[in-house]
Amino acid sequence: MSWAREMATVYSCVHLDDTVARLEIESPDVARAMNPGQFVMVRPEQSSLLPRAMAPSEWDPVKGRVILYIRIVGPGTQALSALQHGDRLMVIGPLGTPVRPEEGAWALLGRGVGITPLLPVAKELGRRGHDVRIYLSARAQHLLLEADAFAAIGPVTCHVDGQGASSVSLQFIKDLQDGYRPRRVLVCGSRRLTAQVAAWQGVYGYEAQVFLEEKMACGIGWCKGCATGPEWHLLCVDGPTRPIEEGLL
Amino acid sequence: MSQTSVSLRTQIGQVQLKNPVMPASGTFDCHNAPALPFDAAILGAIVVKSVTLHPQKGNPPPRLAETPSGLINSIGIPSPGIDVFIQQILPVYTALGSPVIVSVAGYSANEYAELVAALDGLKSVEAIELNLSCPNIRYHRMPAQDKDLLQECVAMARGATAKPLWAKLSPDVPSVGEMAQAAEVAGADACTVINTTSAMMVNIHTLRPMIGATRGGLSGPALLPIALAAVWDATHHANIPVIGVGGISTVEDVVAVFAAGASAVQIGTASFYDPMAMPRLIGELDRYLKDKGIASIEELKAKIRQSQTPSAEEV
Ligand SMILES: Cc1cc2nc3c(=O)[nH]c(=O)nc-3n(C[C@H](O)[C@H](O)[C@H](O)COP(=O)(O)OP(=O)(O)OC[C@H]3O[C@@H](n4cnc5c(N)ncnc54)[C@H](O)[C@@H]3O)c2cc1C
Ligand SMILES: Cc1cc2nc3c(=O)[nH]c(=O)nc-3n(C[C@H](O)[C@H](O)[C@H](O)COP(=O)(O)O)c2cc1C
Ligand code: FES
Repeated sequence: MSWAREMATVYSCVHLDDTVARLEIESPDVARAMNPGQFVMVRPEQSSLLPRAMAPSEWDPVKGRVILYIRIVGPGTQALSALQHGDRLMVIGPLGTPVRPEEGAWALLGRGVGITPLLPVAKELGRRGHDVRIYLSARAQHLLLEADAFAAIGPVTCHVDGQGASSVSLQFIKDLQDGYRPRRVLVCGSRRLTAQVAAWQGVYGYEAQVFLEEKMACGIGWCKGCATGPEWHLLCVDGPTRPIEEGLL
Repeated sequence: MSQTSVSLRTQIGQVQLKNPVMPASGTFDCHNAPALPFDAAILGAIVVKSVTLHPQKGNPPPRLAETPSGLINSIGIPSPGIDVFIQQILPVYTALGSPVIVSVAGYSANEYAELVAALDGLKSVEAIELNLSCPNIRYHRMPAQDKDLLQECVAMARGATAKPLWAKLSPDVPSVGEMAQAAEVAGADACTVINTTSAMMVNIHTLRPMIGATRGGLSGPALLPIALAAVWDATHHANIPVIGVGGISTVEDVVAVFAAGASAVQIGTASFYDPMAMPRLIGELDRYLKDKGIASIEELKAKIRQSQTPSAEEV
C-alpha cells in the first residue's frame, strides 16, 4: 500500500466549542483510498510546523471529501482549526494499518475526540453484518460526536461527565456481567477506558485493541520517532491500533 | 538567457550521480515503510539509516520533540546489525535503481573497520558514510567531536576498504574545518557536513526533559545557517568534496549550500514537512538552472567560484 500527498482545499471548518472543530476537506486521492483504522497527516499550507496526525471520522470517495474532528491542544491543532473555506492544506495518506473487520461481536468504546476514529470501523462492521455495540463518553452532550450515526449501526450507550451515576466503562462491565459476550473490543481516546477494558479481558476472554497516539514527525515510517510498546513497533506503520497491553505502558 | 536542457550530473570524488539530491541518513526508508508514491530511481543516491555491527533497539520513547524551527530527535540507532542488513535490507535498496550509500555507526575504531570490511566486497554499495556521532565505548566521546578518535576511526575504516568513504561531521566542535582536514588526512574521500546539533526541550508540566534520552539532535530549518558555516569551513580547510546537509528545504537553500562549497546535498527533516521534498527539489533545481542559463552542476560550481574570487579592483 502506498500513500498520496495532495494539496487539499478546506470545504468548511465549524467550531463545536472552544476546544473542538469539525474540518471538512476536499482531498480526493486520500478519500478514494482510506480504510477504517487508518489516519492522515495534515499541515496548513502556510504552517511552519510539522504535519499533525488525524484519524478521519468519515470520507466520501465519490465526492472526494474527508471529515476530521480536531481537539485543540497546541499550536498545530490551533492552526488547523483556524482554517477557513477555500484555504489549502497538505494531506498525506492513507497511513497506518487498517483495522481488520474480523468475524464476531464487537464492542467499540470511545471518549471525546477519540470517538470519531471508531465511526468508520463501526460502519464497516455494520456493513458486514457483524453485531456492534457502541459506548461513548464525553465531557459535554455536544461532544458525544456522531452519536446519531453510531445509533444507525448498533445500540449506543452514552455518558456525559457529571450526568448520571454510571460511566460507560461501568456500563460496559455491567453488560458483561449480565451476559454480553463481545469477541473483540476496540478502545479509543481514554487511558481509563483502556485500563478497564484490559482489566476485564482475562475474565471475559475478548480480544482487545486500543487506538494509540504518539508524537509523529513523518507518519510514513521514515523517522522512527513513533516507537511504542515493548517491541517498539512504529505506530505509524504497525498501528495506530495496537494490542491493548501497549496502551497501559 | 534560459537553457533548454541542463545536466544535473554530479561527481563526488569517484562517485558519479545523476543529480546531487539524496536523503540524509535516518530520514528515509524503503524497507520498514509503506511503498513510495514516486520512483526512488530519480534520487541522486539513497543513503540508508546508519547500521551498527550488532542488532540494537535504539533509544526508549519518547523520541521526538518539535521546536519552533525544527525537530529534536533521540531515535538512537534501531539496527538489525550488519549481517541481517546485508542479507535482507540491502537487496531492497539495490533493487530501487539508485546508487546506495551505506551509513555505518561503530562504538570503536575496530567496529568501523569491521563494518566497512563487511561491505567492502559488495558491488551494490557505491560508497560508505561513516556516522561518527556514536559514543565511543572506551573514551565515552564521539569521534566526530574528538580529532584523534576521528582520525583513528577513519584510518581503520580506510584500511578495510577501497570503496569511497564519506566522513560525517558534527557541528558541535570548535572548528569543523579542522575536523574535515583530519578526516582527509586519515583517508576520507569526502565529508558529509553536518549531523544534528545537541539540544533539549523541557516538559513544562512535569519539568523533566521532553525526550526519553534527555537530549537529542536538532535538525530542520534552525540548522541551515549552522550547516552553511560548517560547509564553508570544511571546504576551506580540506581538499575533498563536501556533501552539505542541514535544514535544506527549498531550491534556494540548495543553491546556498552549493555556494558555501558543497558538491551535493542531503535532505532530512524537510521530507517530514513534505514527503515529496526530494522529487520536488530535483525538479526545482533543474528549473532553476534552466532559468539562470546554467547548463550543468559543474557550471554552477564554476559560477560560484567566479563570484567568490575577488576582482582586480577588490584585491
Ligand atoms: C494516529 C493518530 C491519530 C490522531 N487523530 C486525531 C484526531 O482525529 N483528532 C485530534 O484532535 N487529534 C488526533 N490525534 C492527536 C493529534 O495528532 C495531536 O493532538 C496533535 O499532533 C497535537 O498537535 P499540537 O501542535 O496542537 O499540540 P502539541 O504542541 O504537539 O502538544 C501536544 C500535547 O503535548 C503537550 N505539550 C506540548 N509542548 C509541551 C511542553 N513543552 N511541555 C509539556 N507539554 C507539552 C500539549 O499540552 C498537548 O497536550 C491523533 C494522533 C495520532 C497519532
Ligand atoms: C529522525 C532522524 C534520524 C536520524 N538518523 C541518523 C542516522 O541514523 N545516522 C546519521 O548519520 N544521521 C542521522 N540523522 C541526521 C541527519 O542525517 C541529518 O544530518 C540532520 O538531520 C540534519 O539534516 P536536516 O536538517 O535536513 O534533517 C537523523 C536525523 C533525524 C531527524
Ligand atoms: S512517525 Fe515517523 S516513523 Fe512513525
